Amino acid sequence: MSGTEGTAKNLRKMAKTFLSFRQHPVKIVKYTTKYLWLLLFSLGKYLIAMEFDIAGWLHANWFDIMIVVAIFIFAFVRWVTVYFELAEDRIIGHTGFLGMARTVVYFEEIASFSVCQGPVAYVLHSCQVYIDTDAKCFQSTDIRIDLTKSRAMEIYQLICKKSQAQPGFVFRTRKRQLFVFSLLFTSAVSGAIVLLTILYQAYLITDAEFEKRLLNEVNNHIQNIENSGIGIYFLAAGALIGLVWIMSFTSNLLRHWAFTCRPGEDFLRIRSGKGSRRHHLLRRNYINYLDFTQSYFMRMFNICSVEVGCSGYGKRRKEISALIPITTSKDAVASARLLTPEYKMCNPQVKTNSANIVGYVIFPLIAAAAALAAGVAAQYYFPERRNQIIFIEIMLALPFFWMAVVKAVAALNTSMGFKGSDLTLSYCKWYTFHKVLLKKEKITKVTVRQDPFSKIAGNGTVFFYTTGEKSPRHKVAGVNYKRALEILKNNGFEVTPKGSPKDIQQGVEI
Amino acid sequence: MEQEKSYTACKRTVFWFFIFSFGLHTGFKAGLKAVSNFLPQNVLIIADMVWAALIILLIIAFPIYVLVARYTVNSESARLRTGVVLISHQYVPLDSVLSVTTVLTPLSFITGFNFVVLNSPGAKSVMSFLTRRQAREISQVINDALQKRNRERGDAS
Repeated sequence: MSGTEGTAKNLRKMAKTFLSFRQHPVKIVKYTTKYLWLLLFSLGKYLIAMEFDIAGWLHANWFDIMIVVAIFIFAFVRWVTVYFELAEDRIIGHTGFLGMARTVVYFEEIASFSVCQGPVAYVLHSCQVYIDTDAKCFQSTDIRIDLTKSRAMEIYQLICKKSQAQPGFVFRTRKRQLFVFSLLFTSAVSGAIVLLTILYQAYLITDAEFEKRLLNEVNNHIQNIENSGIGIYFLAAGALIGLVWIMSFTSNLLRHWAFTCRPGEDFLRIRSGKGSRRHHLLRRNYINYLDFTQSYFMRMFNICSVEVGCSGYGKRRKEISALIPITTSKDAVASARLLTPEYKMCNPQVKTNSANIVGYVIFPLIAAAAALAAGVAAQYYFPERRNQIIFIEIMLALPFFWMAVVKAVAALNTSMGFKGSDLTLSYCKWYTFHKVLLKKEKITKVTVRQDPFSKIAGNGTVFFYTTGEKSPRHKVAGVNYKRALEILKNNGFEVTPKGSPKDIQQGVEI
Repeated sequence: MEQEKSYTACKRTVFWFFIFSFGLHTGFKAGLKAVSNFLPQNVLIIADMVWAALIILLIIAFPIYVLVARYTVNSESARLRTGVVLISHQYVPLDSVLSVTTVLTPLSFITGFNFVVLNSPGAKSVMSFLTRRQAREISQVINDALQKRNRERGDAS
């Protein structure tokens, strides 16, 4: 008996050891192909059509069933061969196809460590772990594994055990403020993308019948409203925008609900999310820049949010690399000073002025004029579609007119300034204003560019390049060319070479 | 005093570019003639006009690009001056360069189509149309600087 008990105990111990370094079993399902569900739906349909005659169903669909079984066996084998090992100072991931790739990542080299848990994963007690360094490796993330939450947090504690949290200051979002600001300043674009993605994915999973029925329903409703005399196209667009706005608002709110940021000696510890919970560790040495972002309306009301450029953070789909979510500018500046005191704001040394307005607004206005001109031409060729064309014409031209307004403000607020090893850039990209705090040692390249019109005006555009997931390039346009070159030269970036053009021959030493 | 060397693009590339463009133009014309029975006349005319405009633009722009391009390298930084209409000055501190890629194309000892690419986090800088000797020299200087930097970092740690 004792022998049997001993064997059982050993087996349990082996199984526990085997499982503790493997991914969560839910990964087996994830390793099956995304479109396996189409095959399963098809098999299910046949089973129902054959009134649950299992023998007949097996006879008719043996090949499809074999394919499904083979897929699951392959997924299981892949789950067994992908595992990780932990040492005192490193993690070794055996990942890739059948665990062929072995990646060793030392804790000291980790730029960011993220643990993400969605609502379904919460029920299954699993989560996704992402480990990123500054290296650009073959895949998008150095190590990516699905673990149990408890195991993931064990690794989390192991990585930051040497770095103590600094007592005193913890940044937390104020929920009422977050709710009100998200309500007022949410963009509809991300919601539109979410809605279209949902419709497209639903279309892939079901067949076209569903789409036809959905469109017929919508058309019927719209026709009822048309009888009341309202322009149906504006109504349809209004309904769509309203819907995507609600989705975008809810998504943003849940992402940043209960957001906290705790500074440590070596790391920033960030937690956020309701529904999908996220834990992030960002190593201070690998932070590349801070970015104070605001839209035009946020700028009017002195609201902004702060994003941080760090390898791996903000890389995932729908993830924003937030350091301080939407709050007042005064709070944001004060909190950023406490969380990342090494990043300092500098006064501008060269700035654009009202003379630059024409250069900034000309292209959006040309684009708006082109949209209107195209509409007029289309009305001439298709007079029976006049109403629809006018609608499309206005919808196309409006964003460009709005961009012209935003760019006019940007023309008065673009600047750059150095102080010691710090650099502060203020610029506008598309519809968003950015104030970026950089360190000189994080700049990997500087480019100064001049087109013929800028040359006449004595202006130029300066590009600063850093490592970054989303915005490696920062563009400061319309600044005085000579002044910009002088400032760059005084701060160690001598962009133009020594020697006159006449001295330059092939391989001349200067 | 720090040694700094300047390089200009190889002028031979202009001659060979004209040869290749002529060959490409001949090939395009032959291809257009082959499909002329299958496409409407309007499309053929538009394709012809677009191609002619492209070739003319390239024939004017390419020699200017080669004449204007200038690269300066020392042990601390690399500077590039390029562009035709948009003149661009680039400054790359060698501290940020992770690796150097040298591209020597076949027959480049005649054509001059050799390139050196500096790989930095977030940025790539390309020195185009160098002679083989220039490309090897630039790569050597930069790789020596990277080796010295890595040795110093190793000693410091």
